[in-house]
Amino acid sequence: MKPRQRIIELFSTFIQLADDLFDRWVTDSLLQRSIERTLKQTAELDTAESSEHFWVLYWYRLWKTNPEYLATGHLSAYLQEVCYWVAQRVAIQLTSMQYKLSDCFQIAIASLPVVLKGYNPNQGASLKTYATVVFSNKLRDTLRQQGEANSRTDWGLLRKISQKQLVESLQAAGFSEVAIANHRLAWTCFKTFCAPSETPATRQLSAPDRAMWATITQLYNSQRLKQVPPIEAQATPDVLERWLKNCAKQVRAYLHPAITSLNLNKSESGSGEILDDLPADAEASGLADLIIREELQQRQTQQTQINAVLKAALEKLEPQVRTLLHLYYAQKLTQQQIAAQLEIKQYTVSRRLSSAKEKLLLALAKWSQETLHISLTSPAVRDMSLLLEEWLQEKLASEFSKDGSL
Amino acid sequence: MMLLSDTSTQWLEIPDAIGTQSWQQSQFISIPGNRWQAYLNQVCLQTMLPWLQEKSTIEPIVDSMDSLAFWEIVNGSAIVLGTTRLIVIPTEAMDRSEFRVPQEWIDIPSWAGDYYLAVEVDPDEQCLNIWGYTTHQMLKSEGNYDGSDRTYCLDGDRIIQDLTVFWVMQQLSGEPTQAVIEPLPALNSGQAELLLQQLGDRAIALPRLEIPFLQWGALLEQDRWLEQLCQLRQSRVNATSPANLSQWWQNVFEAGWQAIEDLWAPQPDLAFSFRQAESTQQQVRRVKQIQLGDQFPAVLLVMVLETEADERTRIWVQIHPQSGETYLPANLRLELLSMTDEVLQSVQAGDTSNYIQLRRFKSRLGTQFRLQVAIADTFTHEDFIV
Repeated sequence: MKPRQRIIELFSTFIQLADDLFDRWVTDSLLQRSIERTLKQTAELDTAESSEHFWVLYWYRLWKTNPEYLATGHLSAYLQEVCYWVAQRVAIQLTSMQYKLSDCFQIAIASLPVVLKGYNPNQGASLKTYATVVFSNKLRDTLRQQGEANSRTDWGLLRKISQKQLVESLQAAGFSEVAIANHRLAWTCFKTFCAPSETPATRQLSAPDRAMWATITQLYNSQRLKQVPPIEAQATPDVLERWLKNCAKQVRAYLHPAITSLNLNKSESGSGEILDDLPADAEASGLADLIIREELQQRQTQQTQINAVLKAALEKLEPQVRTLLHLYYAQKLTQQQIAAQLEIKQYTVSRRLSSAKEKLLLALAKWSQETLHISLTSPAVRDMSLLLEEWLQEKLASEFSKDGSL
Repeated sequence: MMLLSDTSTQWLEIPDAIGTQSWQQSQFISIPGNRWQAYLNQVCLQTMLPWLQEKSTIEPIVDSMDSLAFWEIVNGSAIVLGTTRLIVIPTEAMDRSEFRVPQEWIDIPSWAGDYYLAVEVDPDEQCLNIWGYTTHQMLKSEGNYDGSDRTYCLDGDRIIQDLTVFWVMQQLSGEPTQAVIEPLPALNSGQAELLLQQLGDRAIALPRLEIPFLQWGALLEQDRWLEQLCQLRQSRVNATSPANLSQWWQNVFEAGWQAIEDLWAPQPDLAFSFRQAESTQQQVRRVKQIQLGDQFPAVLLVMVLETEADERTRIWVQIHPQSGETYLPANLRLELLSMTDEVLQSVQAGDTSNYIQLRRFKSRLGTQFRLQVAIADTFTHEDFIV
């Protein structure tokens, strides 16, 4: 893939795939005009290296105040590479021919709203790092869920989903609130009586028999009045069977959303004037720029400190553990490959990696508490863990290559 | 380019022995979904304990009822790890879109925990995935209360999915984990008795949703009432319709009654007492696995039928240890009861009994009787009609 050099490209171009490989960058002209205009208003240079972080924060802040802005488009353009690499890495590991790189890319990029909603620039890790984690998890979970959905009977599938997923599936299919309440209760009653009886497994769970439908119906009719608001209508076994089959159908559809065109530059079709999409007040915008620059400076200082803390913590780890970290983060071997190379079990690799990460995270957390006076709550330490991950994946690799001692 | 970080989630394999044992022990629960919930809870807890021990080097102590009869009613377990109270909530759901915690674990003061672990149990792959955690405080402040199934639900993206964080938190001094919990109004024993009578009814599939939460929580908070409730439901869930022995001759058997060779491999030496030599009559032989609570190993109830010339049925009854065991649990009792609960025969296992049996008896068509298997205070029974 040809890396994008200029800020304008970074925030206005999208990946075009051909034959399931990177083909070229395609420009979204609306986004291009938007960023050109904005560039003129600020003193930032149009070279990716110097001001990439500035522009990420700039569009992120704009997105926060109004998600309908072009900001989403700019950030989507920006995260194309990250998404592509995540998709590629996963696609290579897949043994089934069912998923192409383009499918993986689609699935991952669909979680862009989750990335933007969950990202918190104050915790220090970059948007790219955060997006990598979200894209990876989303892709991993979606592939697993689609695989399960394909290998399960309707009844086995209905046991394997959360209530939230059921409700979301029905909402996506346009069910009314009342209908959703009815189906949800039917599902609860179904789960109370339809469970494995021969072997402890649910994948091939068979349909309830007549007697079981009768007990399910009985439970439904006794529970319906206790609902808030109460469900008025009695149900019969036939109705419940139809509802539940429909639930399974909607869940399958929800897990396999129709793959839309890969052409992501949707803003092209938007009719909005660029001027409407820009911050109206030049003065306010100048102030915002200042705030962003301050934030970036703070982050820079913090990163230097963190780098020192983590390097010191790394020194204290056993050489054997450092080798492991090197293989995993610098040489980018998989756990399986490491296990083969060191002739240990993959379980051991995984355990030692987590234990090393725990030690580094503990050091970082204690330092933050003592130096930055951050109170150590689970969410705060989770943010630090993301920072640690970023450091391991970016800095650690270069540290190892610099001193060459490993 | 960055790697997928795959060191932070935790997959654990369910050991075969734990899976098999939990499955067998859970069979006494008659409502299929509740039986399944009990099974999932037991494999989850048993698989997690060694892992917690290994990771923390502290001996984890189970601090909730560690019994299938309990999990038939409420999903989840409490584990004390040093000074921290963990609540483990198993789920079957494969998606991580929400973490659903029964209200009991949040609003009963003595039940509430510091940390709540979300565990997907995947029985098809025989593994667990501990996919995230949260605190009591976060569940209470950021979670939604769902009145339809009395749970607190937290969106999947608010769950901390990185377990590295959990283990680091265990090494740092106390973050505030618990929100304020209002005490539940106390019940007097009269009220409790009434509620127990009402909830012990086996026709009630979901007792936790049957009465208002304040009463339900207050009832469960007292160990003795909780135990009583479990026992009531246990003994009553067995009260199924009698096995119809005349049908057995047509090869129609009630659920659980299996051919000898299905439950026993290799074939036991039954010849010693079920000697066919004395008659040339045809026999029906069936065996059923009997589970007495979950404190004792399952035993096998063996029935052999023959028809007498006067059309009465001759019946042999024995109890054997299950395949692989040599002795019956000491003091195990087998009793023959009339339908008015009069004890007609009784026999008790010693310390080293390989089996126990009743004296053969004969019954006319239409006669009903009951076989009761008991040890200490735990008992179960099977009803028959000849």
